[in-house]
Amino acid sequence: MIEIKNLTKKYKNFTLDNISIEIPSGRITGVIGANGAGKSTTFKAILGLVKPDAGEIIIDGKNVRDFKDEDKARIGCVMTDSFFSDTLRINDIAKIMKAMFKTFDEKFFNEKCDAFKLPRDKKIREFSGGMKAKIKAITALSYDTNLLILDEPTVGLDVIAREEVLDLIREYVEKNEDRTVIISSHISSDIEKLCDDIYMINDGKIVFHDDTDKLLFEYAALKMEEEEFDKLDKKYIKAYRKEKYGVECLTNQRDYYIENYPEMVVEKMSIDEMMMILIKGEKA
Amino acid sequence: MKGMIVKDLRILLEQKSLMILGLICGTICLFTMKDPTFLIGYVTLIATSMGCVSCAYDEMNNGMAYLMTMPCSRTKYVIEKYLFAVAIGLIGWSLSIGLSFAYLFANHINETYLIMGESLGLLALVLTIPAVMIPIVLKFGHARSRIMIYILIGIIVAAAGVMSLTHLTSITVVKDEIVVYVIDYTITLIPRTLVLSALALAIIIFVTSMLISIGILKKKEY
Repeated sequence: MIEIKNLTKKYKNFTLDNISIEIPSGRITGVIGANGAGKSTTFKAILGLVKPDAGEIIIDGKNVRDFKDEDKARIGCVMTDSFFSDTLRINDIAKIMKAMFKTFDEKFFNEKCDAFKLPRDKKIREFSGGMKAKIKAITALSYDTNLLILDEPTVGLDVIAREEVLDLIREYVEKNEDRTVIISSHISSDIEKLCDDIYMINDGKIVFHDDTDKLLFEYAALKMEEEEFDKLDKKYIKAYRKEKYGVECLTNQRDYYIENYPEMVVEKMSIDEMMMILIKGEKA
Repeated sequence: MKGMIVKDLRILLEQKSLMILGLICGTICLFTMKDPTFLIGYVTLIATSMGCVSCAYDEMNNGMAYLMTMPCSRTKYVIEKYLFAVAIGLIGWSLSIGLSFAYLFANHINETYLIMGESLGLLALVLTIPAVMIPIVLKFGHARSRIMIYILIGIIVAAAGVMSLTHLTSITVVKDEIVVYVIDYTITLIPRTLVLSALALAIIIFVTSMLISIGILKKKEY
């Protein structure tokens, strides 16, 4: 279980402001947000790469600050902009991982590299963006961990490769139901398909958290004229945005508005659209 | 730590052509200059610098962030860097001594004792090079570290120049003894004392530098 309590990290031009996240074991949690919203800083704090100015991060009852090597060995990670030196080859990485992790599964690693058609004797420097994303994901999944932290693991991948990487993550969770995954992605369809719940971070703050099923089946867009909006019961309106044609609202109680406002246009919303209205719109 | 050693060895192997080139150049110099001490100093310098190079490779492409998530504490990471550089330096040193002795025996030159004494003094290089390079790379990163090393060389040369102008210190060689004047004091060192003093000083610099590097890395954020 991951508990992030009131995490604050101040930089010159950005502050991660009092973030609290709770992820029970066995769940896949998605973190979404625009570039620079604070997703990577949150992940880095979990990995002990940045020191919080306030708050604490507890993983399976132990503060990240007090983590020993054996605790770090139980965490797998994919980082968007960081990996082993690109002068190395996959064969080198296999040898390093074998020496680094007692639980490294060389057979799995080699099989997946072959399945993804990754050349083992070519320098990482010569890999395409997609190939680099694949080797990062395979490496993170090739040893026994309780927690997987994935910062944009599908960036640069085509639809098929993305699905293959997502399958690897599903496989990882199915092997042991206590395993926890926290993932960020700009591709909302990946998050929708994979995650049990979703946090949205904007400008260093958590602006939203709910279960994915609820997002997909209970959240909706309501579209109306401005006069109708003025009379609307805003009890279940999370945010709204004024458009040229009228007003668009985000609700978390679709059925309530279908029953009480039968004439109103009620449409399903993608996670990207929800994100847009939450970031660009106003709170009701 | 074992994983980090394997990683550094793999990075080093990528530079094997450079190492071989250095060894060939040193051997050519041995035959042209007929001076085994130059070969030992040159190869030791190259080998120790090569041992430190993985530090810069880790820094490249923001790789340190990923490495710091591995099951190796920051203290162990630093210790491994220093020990790795010393180990590679010692390999270079031993190899060059072997070549030098082979040259001396082949040419029936009986200077083994002298060479041994000088090469022991050169061991100070094996400790001093990582002591200077590693904290600078860790503190300033791959790109800025090179500039910082040039600046550091400038500071040392400038300080030595100023001290010689003030006539407060001077070093002269009288027969086989080295005479060091510091203000009003005169220290006379026989070569053996000089070698031992250099090694003792190098050990102190090495340990101090390692502690500084551990402090630098513990404070760093990625």
